[in-house]
Amino acid sequence: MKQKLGSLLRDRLVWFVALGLGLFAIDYASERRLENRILIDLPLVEKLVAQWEGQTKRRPNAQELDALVEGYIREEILVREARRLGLDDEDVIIRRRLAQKVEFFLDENNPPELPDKAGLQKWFEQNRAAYDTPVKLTWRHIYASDEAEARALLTRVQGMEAKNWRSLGQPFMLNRAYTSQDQLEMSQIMGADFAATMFDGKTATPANGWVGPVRSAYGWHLVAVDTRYEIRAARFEAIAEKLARDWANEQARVAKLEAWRELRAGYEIELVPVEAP
Amino acid sequence: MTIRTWLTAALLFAPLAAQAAPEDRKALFGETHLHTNLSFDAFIFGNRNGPDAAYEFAKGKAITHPSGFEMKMRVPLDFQAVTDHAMYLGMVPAMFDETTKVSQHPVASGLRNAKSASERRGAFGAMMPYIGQQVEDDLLDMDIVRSTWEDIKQSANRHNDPGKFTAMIGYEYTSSQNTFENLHRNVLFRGDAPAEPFSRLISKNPENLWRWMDSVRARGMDSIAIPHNSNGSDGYMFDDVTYDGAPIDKAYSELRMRNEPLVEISQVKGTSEVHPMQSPNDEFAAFEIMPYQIATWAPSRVQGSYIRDAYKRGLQMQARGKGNPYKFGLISASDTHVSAGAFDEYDYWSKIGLVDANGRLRGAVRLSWTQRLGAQIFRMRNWWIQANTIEGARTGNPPKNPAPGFLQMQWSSWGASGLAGVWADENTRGSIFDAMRRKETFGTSGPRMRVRMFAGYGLQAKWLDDAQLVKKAYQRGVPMGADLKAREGKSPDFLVWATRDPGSAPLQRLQIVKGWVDGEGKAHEKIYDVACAGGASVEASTNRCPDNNAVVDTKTCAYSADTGADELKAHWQDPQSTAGENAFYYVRGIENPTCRWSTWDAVRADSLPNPSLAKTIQERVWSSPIWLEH
Repeated sequence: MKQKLGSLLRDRLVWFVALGLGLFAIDYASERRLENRILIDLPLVEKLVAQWEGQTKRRPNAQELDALVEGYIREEILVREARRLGLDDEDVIIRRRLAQKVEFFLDENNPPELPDKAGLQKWFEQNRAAYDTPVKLTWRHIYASDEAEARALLTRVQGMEAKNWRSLGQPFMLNRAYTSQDQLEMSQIMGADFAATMFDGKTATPANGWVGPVRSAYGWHLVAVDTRYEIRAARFEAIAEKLARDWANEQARVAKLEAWRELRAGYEIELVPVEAP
Repeated sequence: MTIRTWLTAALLFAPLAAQAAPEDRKALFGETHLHTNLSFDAFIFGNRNGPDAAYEFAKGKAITHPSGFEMKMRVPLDFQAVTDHAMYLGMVPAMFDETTKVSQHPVASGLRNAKSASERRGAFGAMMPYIGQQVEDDLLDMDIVRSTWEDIKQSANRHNDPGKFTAMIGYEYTSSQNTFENLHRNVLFRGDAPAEPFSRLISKNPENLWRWMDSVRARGMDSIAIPHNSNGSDGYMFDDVTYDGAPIDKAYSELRMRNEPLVEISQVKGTSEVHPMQSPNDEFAAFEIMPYQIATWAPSRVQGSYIRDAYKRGLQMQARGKGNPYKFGLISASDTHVSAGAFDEYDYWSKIGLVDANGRLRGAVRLSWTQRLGAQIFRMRNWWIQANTIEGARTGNPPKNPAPGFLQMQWSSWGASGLAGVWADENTRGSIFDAMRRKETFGTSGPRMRVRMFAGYGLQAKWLDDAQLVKKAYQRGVPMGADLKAREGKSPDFLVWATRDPGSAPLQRLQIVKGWVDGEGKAHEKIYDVACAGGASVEASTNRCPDNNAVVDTKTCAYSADTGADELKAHWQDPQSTAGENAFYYVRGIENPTCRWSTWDAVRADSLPNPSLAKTIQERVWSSPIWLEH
């Protein structure tokens, strides 16, 4: 037995292998040490102090500075340990945060440049309709208990002094006069059919005075349109600022979409087929 | 200041001053009770819509239900308050955010990792002892609560658009007696609010909430509290005694009325006007009754849980020199937990997100055989839990399922209700709040019905057809919510008036509900129909309108369009007013019958309706009362 061990020690190959293993271990340990080194340099300390100052509005004293640095060391070690254990791999929050950062770059990398006036004007021409103000009516009505009463009231109101119209008809729970109301608002209050008649541009117009009866969700009305505000075409100068903002938003949206398409194109998506049961 | 500045100022304020005449008040519709993802329960139910989304919804935009479909209002609202639960405000979103400290708590990881509906319920259950303060609370982080509250206030300020849309600041104070006897109220602020809401974690006794409101008011921040779901309070909401069991005295009555001028009469978890057991002669009393204590199967005691009875108790206490602690006006709200109220029977999404997202889960649509088997296992499991845990013992067991084949759920008794109405000078925070203080408010079970009531001496029937009706009524009488000083030997006149919702069924009848206390201290009530659809007159012997033959086809949900009224109005004089007897009078306006949401669910799913649920509903509006005071 002793002899056998002796002969083994004499074998050069064994010595060679042992030496190799030893070198390898030393190398590994020193690398480990490098990897486990945390550098505390002046820029880092200045950064920590600046954060502290931001919160407390004063400089830290020596003790607090120690605590700041120690806190940084603690965080750094825990983060490195977490990475070593692979804890960052499957963490939803971290994945989301990383994705958010890239999304942020997509936005940042494409700051929209404002176009010249001609360019903006052209864009305005292409999107005009979205900026127009819809037709609106300023109108009044007299509420009647039925169609016959409404007809009778029509002759009365046409024959009387204009300012006395409020004394006619039945009381009405909602307003008796509305100012610059568009068709959607009117139909929500009075019903869609009533609003459609009022906005047809023929039945009730400022020139026609009191007309009717018109049927609403509540019954019969005489109506008078005081002012009809036709579709007001948006003027370029009046909304230039809003246009520029919208244009920039739109450019940013398109640019981001384009950047995303490029990214997406760099990846091959493979669908793994599901085996039939 | 230059003359020009003065002129501009005068021009700016002139229209406001001109609007201050009471006859120009407008009925504004709104929501005063709504939960976003910042409420602990709403987040768990799957709601991810924050306050901004809730306000966008109120203004008419579509937002997404937790289960993916779109929710949108038929007509946008005029005002809204987001009222999240103050206790644990913003805590559950923080528990789901793994960067916070609280997310490390086992309750938090339990919540995050819940996959199925039953795991979700289990995780929710694990949180309840913390909220109920039965264990030491190492969950709560007040920094999160305060910063969430700040976000809520900022969202309201962002969306508040005076004259067009009012966003009020508010929260829910979610108190109870010992466990589930609901004593919840919503606190609404006139303008700004303090840095931290007063929650049940500070005190469960509402009197301490009112004292806090008094102190905050002294600092210039006015607020009111609106209790809700008295139906689930087990009799504690309108009790004969205080929270601690002491007799009610004048100081208590004044403290309560100073802070609680309104009560929610109807909302998604049922209507609290009256229970049929208390008012056997009211044919319309069995309306959307929700008989349980909140979040349990335990029955809620009827006595002390319903509003008409509270009005009578209040008069009796007043007669004994204790003041009247129950002299409140009426309002309705949804109490939705998906940031969006469901007000229409035909477009109903209930309120607890993933838990009651469809007709099957709501017990309105018949289950398939496999679903029935699953439901049976679930039921047996529940029985076991209920029999073997302390929490289970408190929440009680469901009664025998009267409709096998359908899920039996508490939320089958919930409904598409309700909507708040206020008679405000303008659509601003101040005007709306002041109308609430005046109790010039009404509540509906969902539709946009409008109602007015005036009382006085010498109000005339012919004014009903006078275009100046409202002006004259304000000059000679008092509106809803007010007191009328009695004149001896004279019976008061009433003018009542209601209009339909153009998007719902026509009106069927208008009623005045009267309650009074006689010389011996005994309380009585009587209901008078005062206006009938189709020009019919009230039968003198019964005080009821004849049947207007309105019908609903429950197979298609089509309803009669040829009978019913677009508006109803009446002059009425109390035939039984006796000298010295204090009384209250409120209006109830009732629609023709339509399909209840559960029938709509069944019709759409081509299922039979659940036989144990009402198939039709008669939507209604309630005004705040007028009190006759001697």
